Amino acid sequence: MTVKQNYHSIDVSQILTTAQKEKDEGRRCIQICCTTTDDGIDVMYSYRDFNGFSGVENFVVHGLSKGDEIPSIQEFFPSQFPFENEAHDLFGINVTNMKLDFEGNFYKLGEDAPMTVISTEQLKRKERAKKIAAAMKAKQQKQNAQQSPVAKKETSSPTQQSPGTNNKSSSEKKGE
Amino acid sequence: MGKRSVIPFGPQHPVLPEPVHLDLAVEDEKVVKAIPQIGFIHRGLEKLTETHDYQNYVYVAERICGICSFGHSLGYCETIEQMMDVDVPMRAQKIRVMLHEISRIQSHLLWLGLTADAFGFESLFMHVWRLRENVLDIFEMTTGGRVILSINKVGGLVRDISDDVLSQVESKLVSLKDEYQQIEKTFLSNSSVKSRTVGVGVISHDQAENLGMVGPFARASHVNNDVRCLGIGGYRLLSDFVPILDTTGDCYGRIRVRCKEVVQSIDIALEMIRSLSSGSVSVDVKGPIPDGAQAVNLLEQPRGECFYYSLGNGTQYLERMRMRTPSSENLAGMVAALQGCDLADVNMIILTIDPCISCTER
Amino acid sequence: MFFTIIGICIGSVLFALLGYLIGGFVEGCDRRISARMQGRVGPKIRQPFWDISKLFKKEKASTNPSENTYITCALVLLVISGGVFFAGSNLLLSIILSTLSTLFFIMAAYSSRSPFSTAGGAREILQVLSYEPMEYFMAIIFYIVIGSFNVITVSLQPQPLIVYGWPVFIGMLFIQLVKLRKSPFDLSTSHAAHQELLQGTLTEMSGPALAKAKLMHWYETVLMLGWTAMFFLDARPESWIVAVVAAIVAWFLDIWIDNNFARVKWQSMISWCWGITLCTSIVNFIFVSLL
Repeated sequence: MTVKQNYHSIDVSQILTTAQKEKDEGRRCIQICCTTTDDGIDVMYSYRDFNGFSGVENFVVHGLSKGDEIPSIQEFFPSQFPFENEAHDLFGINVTNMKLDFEGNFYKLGEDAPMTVISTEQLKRKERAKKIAAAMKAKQQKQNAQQSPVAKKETSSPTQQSPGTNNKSSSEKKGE
Repeated sequence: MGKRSVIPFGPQHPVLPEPVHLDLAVEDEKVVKAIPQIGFIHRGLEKLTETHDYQNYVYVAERICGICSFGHSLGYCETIEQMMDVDVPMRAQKIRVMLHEISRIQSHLLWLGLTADAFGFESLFMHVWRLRENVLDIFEMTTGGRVILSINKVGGLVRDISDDVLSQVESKLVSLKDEYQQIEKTFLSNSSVKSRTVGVGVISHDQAENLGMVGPFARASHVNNDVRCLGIGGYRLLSDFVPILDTTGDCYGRIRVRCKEVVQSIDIALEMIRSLSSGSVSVDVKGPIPDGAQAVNLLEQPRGECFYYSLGNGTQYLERMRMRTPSSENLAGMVAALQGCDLADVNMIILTIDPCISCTER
Repeated sequence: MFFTIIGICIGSVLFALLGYLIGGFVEGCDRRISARMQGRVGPKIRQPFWDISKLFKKEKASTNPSENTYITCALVLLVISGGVFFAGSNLLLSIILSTLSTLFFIMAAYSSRSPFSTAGGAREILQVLSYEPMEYFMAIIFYIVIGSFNVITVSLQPQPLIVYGWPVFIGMLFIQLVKLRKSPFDLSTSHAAHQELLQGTLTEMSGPALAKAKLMHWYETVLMLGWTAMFFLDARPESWIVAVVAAIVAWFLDIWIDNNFARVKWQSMISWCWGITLCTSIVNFIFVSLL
């Protein structure tokens, strides 16, 4: 059985209201995850219920960048302090109003926000994959396009002979 | 009025299985405040998705932690299989559940030995770890490795386990159960153990829910969050699963929950062995992960609920792999339990949470 | 008086030498038997001697140089205490000297100013508080029954001290666990660094200082076995064999209890020790006064 999961996009301003709503409905926040994508940093909040299981609700905030601020949900869910501090240390997202704030010393790292650094190999791979995907899509479209004009010709003039036979008949005529 | 001193606890401490640092503000042998500090073992494993493709990443995932090694490789493989819509054969799923439950036995036995040692009961520590050697022998017989098993791959198992090895495993588990139950009885009924653990580090049911605690730590406070009840992955094949709960919420309750879970895990492993049918143990999984494919997975590890999330980007390499381990969720609960306890109880309380800091920090 | 002092000097020197050999042998047997109880093989019997010689060869590295002075004073006082006892001299003097030696040990623990050894030193004070009263009551009962504080007079008695002093003997067996720092009463120092205060008082000691602290433990063990044996001696020569056997049985009981009980907190330790001290002493006083 696969885990039932739903993904919703929300805005930075909706983080606290979503947390309040989920808490009122008896769910708890089970983790906060940041991802570096092409369009910026995504922050995902996952919620799950206490009793029974109706699925994991994931709320994603898209398009943040290093240095942006998001509010802390530690007043509702104190157990999230490691993940909010991690978001700050590894991704450079400033989380405001944290109850337990390590002020950048949660992980002692060699450089700031290392998870936002995308290596050149990874970029090349993604470019190549995109090109391959685009090429395959174009090929698919071309195949679809080629198949439909051929079908049109066959339906409009079924008595038309093939060009080969026409040539032959003209050369035969010439040769005589 | 007592004098306040700050005792540094960890990261190098013989009683702790993992490096965590606590600054204990102590007044006359009573802990007034406990400030945790982790980050000594952060290896940036989540960033390694850039250099290891999704098939190879299993080897990184299982090295997050030595105790929960099989659990992480299982959770990772199940997440990728979900993302790519792979149907793992029934035999592989049953063997995976069997090995995961045996891994749970090994983790709880290790923990039990450390707890006994923490309050001066060295002989119990030695006996329990001697029993644990039998479990590690089972791993070596079936997979070739004692701690890092490397038997999971995306699509099933790397190799099958023959029937005569399985019958040897079955007899070893049965003899382990008898020996273990004798030790468990001695331990749980010992008066000095009770005097040190009953009423210590109490966390009520409401507090446990508010702090979002997971695993046996929360189940001792009667919070049922056992993911095995949800029937995810191979666990839907269990005939009857009842989570073990306790109502006391103190250290003794947590010890009792884990002790009973060992027996339950032995029973589940035996059930899986006896119900195995023949068949293949893997399917081939090839090709890149579709762009934008994502999946969430939950797994009940020995320490609690573990959350996995993966995101694909069209290449053979994952865009993001997230493993949220149970010990990270329990850190807030640990700080709450340490408030106002005696200095002599600090060991006990930290160990009953069963911290696995390697998992927390990755 | 002069002969007493000569006797004490000879006794101290002999105790220093023989106590070292017997103490090391007893410690080796202790570790081997504990290991067998735990299902392990255990080290060779000669292992403690190798450990001590290794520690003496190590570099002198301590957080505070005065720690070495305190530990040396503690060791010397303990040797004199043993010398006083085994020379047959004043029992009360032997008890007081052994307590003084422990006080120097506590000062050594405090001198390093680390939180672990300071807290260990505080716990060691509590341990002294727990066992001291029993030792004095033992000396008092000794005086009441025998009529003198001199240990040598025991060998002139027609019957052993245990006949009239059995309640105090039971109390002595109990506090021996505290004095020898065996589980359940190994609060201040455990023999392995497995408690919340690491190794308590011994945390900051290394090299020669640690070697001297370990030697102190050996001498204390021999002294305790001597006090146990004293209860069974009388004028008959075969009582010596009974005394040695009784000491061995008491020592074996200590090892068994060490392996099978968890550590207690200081509040329980004091309440248990004082409770047993009061009960056994009162019972013994009543017993002796009725006879």
